[in-house]
Amino acid sequence: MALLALLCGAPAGPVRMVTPARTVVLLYPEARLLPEILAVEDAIRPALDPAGAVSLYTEYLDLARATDVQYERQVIALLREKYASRRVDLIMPVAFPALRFFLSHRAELFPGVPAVFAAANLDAVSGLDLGSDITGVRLPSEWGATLEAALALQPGTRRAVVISGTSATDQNLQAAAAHDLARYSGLVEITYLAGWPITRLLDEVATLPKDTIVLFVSLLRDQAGRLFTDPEAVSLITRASSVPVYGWSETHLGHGIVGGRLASFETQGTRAAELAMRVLGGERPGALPVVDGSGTAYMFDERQLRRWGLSASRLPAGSIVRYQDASLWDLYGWNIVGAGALVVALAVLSTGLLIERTGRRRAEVSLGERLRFETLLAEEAATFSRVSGADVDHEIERALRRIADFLGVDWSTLTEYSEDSRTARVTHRWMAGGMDPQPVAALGLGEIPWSVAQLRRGATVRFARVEELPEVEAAVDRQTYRRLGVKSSVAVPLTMEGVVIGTLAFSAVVRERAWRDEFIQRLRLLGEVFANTLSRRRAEMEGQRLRQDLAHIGRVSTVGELTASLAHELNQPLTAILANAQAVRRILDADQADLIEVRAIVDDIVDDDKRASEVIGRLRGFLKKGTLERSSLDVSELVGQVARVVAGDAVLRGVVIRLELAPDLPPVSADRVQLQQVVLNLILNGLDAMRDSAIGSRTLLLRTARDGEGRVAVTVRDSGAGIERSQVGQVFDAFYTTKADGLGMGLAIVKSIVEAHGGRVEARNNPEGGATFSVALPTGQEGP
Amino acid sequence: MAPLGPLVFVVDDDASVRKSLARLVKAAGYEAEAFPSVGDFLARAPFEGPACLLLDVRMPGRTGLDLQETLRAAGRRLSIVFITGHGDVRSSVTAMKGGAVDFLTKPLDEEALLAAIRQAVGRTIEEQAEQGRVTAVRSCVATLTPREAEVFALVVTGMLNKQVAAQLGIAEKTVKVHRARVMEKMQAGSLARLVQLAGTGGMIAARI
Repeated sequence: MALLALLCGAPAGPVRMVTPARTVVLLYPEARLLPEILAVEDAIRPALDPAGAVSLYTEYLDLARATDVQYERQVIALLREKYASRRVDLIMPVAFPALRFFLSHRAELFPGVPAVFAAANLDAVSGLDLGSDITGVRLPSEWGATLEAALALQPGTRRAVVISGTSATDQNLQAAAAHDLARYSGLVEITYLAGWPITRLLDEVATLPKDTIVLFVSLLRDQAGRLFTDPEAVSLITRASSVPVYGWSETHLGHGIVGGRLASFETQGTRAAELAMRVLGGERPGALPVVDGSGTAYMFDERQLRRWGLSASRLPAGSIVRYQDASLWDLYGWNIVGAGALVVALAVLSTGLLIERTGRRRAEVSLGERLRFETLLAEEAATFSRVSGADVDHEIERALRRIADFLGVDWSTLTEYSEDSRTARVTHRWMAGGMDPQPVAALGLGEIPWSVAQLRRGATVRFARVEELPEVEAAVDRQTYRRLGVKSSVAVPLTMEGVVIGTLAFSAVVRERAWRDEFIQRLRLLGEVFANTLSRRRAEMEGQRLRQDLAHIGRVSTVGELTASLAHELNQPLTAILANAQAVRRILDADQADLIEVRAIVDDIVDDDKRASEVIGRLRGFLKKGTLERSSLDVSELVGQVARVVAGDAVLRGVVIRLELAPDLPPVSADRVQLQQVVLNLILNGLDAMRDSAIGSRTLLLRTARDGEGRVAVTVRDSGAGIERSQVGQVFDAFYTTKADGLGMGLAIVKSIVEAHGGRVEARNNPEGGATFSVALPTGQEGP
Repeated sequence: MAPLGPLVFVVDDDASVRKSLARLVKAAGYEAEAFPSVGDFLARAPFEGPACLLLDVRMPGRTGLDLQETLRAAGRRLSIVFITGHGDVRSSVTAMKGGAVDFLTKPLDEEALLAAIRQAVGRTIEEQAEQGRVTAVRSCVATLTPREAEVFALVVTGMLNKQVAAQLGIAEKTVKVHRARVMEKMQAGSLARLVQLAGTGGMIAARI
């Protein structure tokens, strides 16, 4: 049946190359890649997806902004739009705020989708109903153990100062700490410095008396809204503090804390991935008990123990002590560089020593470099999580430049594949000064076939020297890279919905360079951020188009009634008129009325009344001649489209729509949108006419045909009550209506549009009941 | 000239609405100042006298709810009556939770509007008075020497001079001298009054 084919026709949008078996969405509370989140993700990713069978999406919710109701609504709308057409198998909220967000909005966002959470501290959370399809891993906080260890190390301690910030995560962890520490309040005086500005905090910790210790909980955001990562905040606090600082997370160690009973986020990720695998394997989350905090250990920093003169012999049994190999370099750092000449002199005597030392120094540099790279990526992730559609291009180019600068490479490019994946286009690039962008821009997929095949499979392509590429399979690629002068290159795929949509590549042309594994891993994360951003932009653009379409339809279907925005526009002048009138009444009641003022007010009332009339006028004259954008249209195709738009509505109303569309009509020169409105209004009119008919008899016939006078006719025939005989001549008049809730504009609009196109309208009753409305449009390419 | 009435600030992006509301408020015996945006309002020097704010919820740029939050964060005591074109439940909840006096929909009912303004001005005056009392006590406290402050803190917990002396490791006679100075500086005629002042200044709560 033609009708069925039309109504159930192929879905819009590209057909996907690969359909991934499973989709998992990771929810993170912050807009940033925090070290803790990286640790969780690093553990989850390989455990969950060893064979590439799972599509892992990450969403950075940025809940710090969740006090902004508008923002939260937008996030929800965005997630809904993004995942509407996609089957999601598992949600993994990471950290308590993400879990809370998920629990509050799951009915709306991911109804019925099971969840496995990770790293959520629930110690101070009460009344949480996880329901039967959620399980996960609780983040332990063992402040009691840490405090006891600290008291053993520093027996003179009388007071503990607890530091936390203002983000949702900070508050959650602070509450958990308070919960743990409550029972120690008789032992030491506990003071909470929660949500202070960092400057004040640093002043405070700088002057703490000797009998005090600092317990660092979490400081992702301070009172002034400044954002930190925990390692950054820990470094600041420990550098300023006059007394030892203790922490609770492995990510704090090495940044200046003495130590404590520390939790491992890696373990959190691993355990959560285990649960996730079981849920994906078909087990019910309710049958998998929530994993209670595990993976904590007493860990301490040897350098800090020495700095504060604390004896390692007092550490709890089984403590892990890190940074024991702290060398002169660690302790004196740049002083050694200052004594460089001496080092060189010594080196002559002891080459071995020098090699040992430079080795260490390189390790130090690489650690610092890694941290800086991580910070850079975190910043980029944050930027892209909130960048708006219009700024995406600019921001991507800026990020490419920044990362290329950091890596010391000469080119960086972002390539997007077309939807059929046959062609590729370099959409963003950055090249070091003096490089010719032309050869890169013109690079065809066929010129690097082996690399493209790797990337399409989701694999990374990297080589320090062109010779590292397979000699036979990649012969063409080798040739191309040599022609372009590329010495070393790394390219990671950008994936979206399990499909590779593009490539992020960095190349060195000046000299060869190697690529470290950890950088590659991070680059893949960045690739995901980019893919996310690009897909969000696509969704935004699609959403915009959808909204425009809906706006047209809304304009037509509700034009008889006042729309919300028109009501608002009318409301303003009405408010002003009323307030002015009330003011005048009060002024006239006074003993000495200021008539000049009264006159001014009345003038304003008149003006506002005119403004209100204009709003109404705009509604009436909403379709006028002179604004037609004519194009050559196939009326049958257009009627079919509109029929598809109203198909859902018709089903709800129990109406069967039949189409009899002539295949070879001559084109009509008309405004597409306005003609859609004509057809839509006629259909809606027909649907309304059958409101009181028996369910089985509600049929609407849409027919297109050539009439005897060389015109194209569209007829809409309903099986309703028909038009009262005396009113057949009036149905196309404005404000003619049989409906209690309508203004009677629908058919009047049809008439005005059709006449503006030089056509004719007609309405008549059918002999067998119901009415037929028809419009006839002149054919020909020329408009009047 | 008649004394000026309380001041009503009107913030609304619609010029007609702004002007007409200012007129109505003036006709009802208030002073009025109108602003087209949140930024324009914030550019005006803070007003310490009796006043209230008649605030549109939806405006281009910063919204009325943003302004409410800004004032709250800055510790400004100025009660707010929200006015809106559409009574959307979420913003009204946010506004009322944020301490708004009322949330009225346009067009505005005269009686409801003036009642809300009366209430808002009353609340502003109360809060300013409370703020004034706290500031006064705090400025007295600031004149105390560290030792006097210690004595003050202990005395208001109900300790006898002897206990205070033992606690601070000083002579009871010295405590008496400090205590007299505290009473004088705090302008407290009695111990009961002193305890009351400590409560107003938030000193007692801070110790517990």
